[in-house]
Amino acid sequence: MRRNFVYHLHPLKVTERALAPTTTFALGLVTLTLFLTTAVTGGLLMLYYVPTPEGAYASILDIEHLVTLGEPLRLMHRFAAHLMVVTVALHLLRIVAMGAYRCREINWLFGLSLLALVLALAFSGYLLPWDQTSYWAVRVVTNMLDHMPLFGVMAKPLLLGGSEVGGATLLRFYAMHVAVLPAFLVAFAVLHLWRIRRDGGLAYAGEASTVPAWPHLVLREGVIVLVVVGLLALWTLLIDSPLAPPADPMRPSNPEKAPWYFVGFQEMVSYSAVIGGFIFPGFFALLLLALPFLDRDDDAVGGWFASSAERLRLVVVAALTAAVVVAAVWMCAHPALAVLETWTQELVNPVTLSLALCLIAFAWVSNGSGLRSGLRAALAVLVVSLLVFTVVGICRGPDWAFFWPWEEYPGGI
Amino acid sequence: MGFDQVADATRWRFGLFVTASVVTLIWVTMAVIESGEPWEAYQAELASSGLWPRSVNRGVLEVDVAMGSQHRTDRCRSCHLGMELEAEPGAQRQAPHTAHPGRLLTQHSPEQHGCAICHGGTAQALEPSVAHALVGTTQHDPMMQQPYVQASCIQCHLPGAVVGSERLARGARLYLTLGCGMCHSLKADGRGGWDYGPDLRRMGRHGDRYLRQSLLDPAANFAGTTMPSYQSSLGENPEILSDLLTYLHALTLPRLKDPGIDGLYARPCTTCHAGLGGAAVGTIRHQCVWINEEQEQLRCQSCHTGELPVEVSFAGFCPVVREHRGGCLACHTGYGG
Amino acid sequence: MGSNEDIEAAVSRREFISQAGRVAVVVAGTGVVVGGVRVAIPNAAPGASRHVLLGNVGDFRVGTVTWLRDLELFVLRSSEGIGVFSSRCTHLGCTVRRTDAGFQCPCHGASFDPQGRVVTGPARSPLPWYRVSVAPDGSLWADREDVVSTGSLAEEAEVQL
Repeated sequence: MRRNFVYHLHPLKVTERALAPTTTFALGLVTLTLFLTTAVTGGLLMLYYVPTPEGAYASILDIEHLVTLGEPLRLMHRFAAHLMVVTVALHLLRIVAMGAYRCREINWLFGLSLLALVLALAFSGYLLPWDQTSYWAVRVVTNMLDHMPLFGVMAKPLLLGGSEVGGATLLRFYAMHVAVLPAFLVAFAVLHLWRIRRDGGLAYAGEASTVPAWPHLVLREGVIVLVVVGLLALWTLLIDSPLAPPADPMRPSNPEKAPWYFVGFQEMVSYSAVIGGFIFPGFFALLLLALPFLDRDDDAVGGWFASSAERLRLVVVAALTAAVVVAAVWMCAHPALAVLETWTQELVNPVTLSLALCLIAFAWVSNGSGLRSGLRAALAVLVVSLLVFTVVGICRGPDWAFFWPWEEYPGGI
Repeated sequence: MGFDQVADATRWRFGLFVTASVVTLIWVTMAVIESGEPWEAYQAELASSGLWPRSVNRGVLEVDVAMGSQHRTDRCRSCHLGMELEAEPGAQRQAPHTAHPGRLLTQHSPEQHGCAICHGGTAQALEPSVAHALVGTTQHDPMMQQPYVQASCIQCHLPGAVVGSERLARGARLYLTLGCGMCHSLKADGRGGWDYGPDLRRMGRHGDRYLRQSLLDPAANFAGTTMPSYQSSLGENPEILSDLLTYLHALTLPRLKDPGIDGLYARPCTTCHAGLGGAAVGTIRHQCVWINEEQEQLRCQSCHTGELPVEVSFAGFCPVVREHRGGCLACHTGYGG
Repeated sequence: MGSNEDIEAAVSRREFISQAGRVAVVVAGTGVVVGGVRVAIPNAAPGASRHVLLGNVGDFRVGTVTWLRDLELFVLRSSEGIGVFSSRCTHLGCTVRRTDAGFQCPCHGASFDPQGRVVTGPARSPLPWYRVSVAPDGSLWADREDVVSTGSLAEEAEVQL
């Protein structure tokens, strides 16, 4: 019976290539495992968590102190959730690097929906502890919506359940986090896996010899699932993630920072609200959405990049982008630039610079290596820029000044 | 290069066995770490000594304490059950069963108030190191260190109004005599501070070392400060310094009783003393004429060199009193003066 | 047994009804989605109220700017009158701090002059001033939905301290 169910989930045969670790790095499976972990740990946390401003913090303290294995449970949930954001992004990059979206537009859109759902789940969960970090992070991110025309004005009361972050917001985020979003995620995950089967398994243009999925693929999957769960559990034994003080709407924290996966956008918004909060993310999202529709190349898919020449160009593009954006960020902190008029600051800043680099990279690489490589280069610039902004954003401390992660913030104990 | 299916399957079956065993080992480690609750051991200890408070069940003992805006679940009693028992003459019980000193427990029953309301600490915790965490750790409800525990009395009582708060009363008097109120605003609503020194009630909990340093060597904590150092008056007197530190700790605590008492800490006197010369409850009515008459006793000349303003409007309220930061505390030095 | 025209007519009727059926299902489904979204939009917005009581005129000394923490408002009282403006930075809503040169937002470095106009920073609009009114008994009210021009002061009837 077990074998029949497993047979049902898997194709009869898989290519040897699919079994090799460097093909996919099992990123999709790891993401799925992390989701299942958050689902199980989340379900257990729900037995104790109270979704009201008065009860939330205390209920989490009870989970930590009173519930047996409560602390590892909460930590495992938190670490799995954060790791899931990383692996889903890496999985997307792998697909782009291999051109595996080609002729698989529907599945690509399902995948992007899953990315959006993972981010939404992470963000909605972020508020639930109702400590200073959560409360002010949600304040900042929902305030960013103020700068988005039309959509932002409509979306803000929908998100907040009112005009401000409060009990209604917490209840909404809780409902989204435990019911609505997981339901959608499961639905899309199932559709995503089904489409993979329907589209013929892992994208690969060439011929390859096949082996039976059982036991070869299934055994590997079992090991990977156990390794992920084991590493998470080990991590909870080694690292703590304490709560901040309870949320106090009258005591703004300094700095007020979005969660790390949004702090790159916050850094961009600190230069220009419109370009950083609307144009860059909008352009990035549109490019991602349109990718399989724009890419009409007939090059082979399934290899890591089209050729070593393309790989080299991409490395150059990525390194240059990183260097230029870092330099631009550093220059913006320089007091000499403060003399620029504010409207000039809107147009001349690291964000517009990265958008310009994106277009330049596309032109240069597509000229040498074709349309698909060009699109990959454009995406590479955007991804590397976002990474740089995220790292810089993580290093921002009180008053948005730059602090290395090991530097202590001023303020005595 | 062929794909040896048999060898591959064998290898990965072995891998599965290894990873599953490692994961099981991790579960066992976690179970061992989480097992053995300290409170179980302590309760067993107490029970085996033949003492046990009447009508108390074994197990985690919880008190839901809701006072003022605070709401806490207090589990300290789960380990510290022995404190309710009378001290035995000639014998000392071991911590955590040592008897509670004084007769405080008769007035503040741990069954109703819990322990954290006086001692602070992470009351929900059942792990001693977490429950007893001090300021500076990741816990946000730090314990009140000895000898400053009397600071907690201020949450409900006037300093010195109840037996057992003498140190707090001495600290409050020191606060007045040293003139802290002249720079550190203690207005009723805490508005408008930071012009000289910050409102000490909004500084948050700080550790002993930080507070000491703020008094004895303020420049070390606050660069470019105008706050004088009290090394000469307090540095040589550890007892007096302790008293003052008790009051400073007290200022960081929330008031748990009726907010009407909030005015107590801005103008502690006026809850009882009000009206001209300190008569019945009402609004302050220091007439300018009266101020001028009492100038010498009030020692106005210590700061004001010129003449005090004569009577200005607003129902006879002398603007000098109103303008004075710290209200009554700026002139009146303490209880009875 | 129908003629060719009858069969064709029957086929096109069937097609029409099938198509109409599909459209109806889509419309019904859309109705569900639209209704669902409308449910999610809050009607009563728990949160800050419009008219807020700031205190009594006498609570604010002439020549001072007082910060009302819980209302996130600054009350400026000069010899010409009383004005009120927001303490929330117009960039991302952080609370600004007072400096010698006006106000500074700790979050991304936006700075404002003492009346709330933007000096530098990612903020692009000045701190909004609200209409303030003084009741006969001296109580001070602000209307958070009535934004007035920067520097607008309400003159109170009599300066009472």
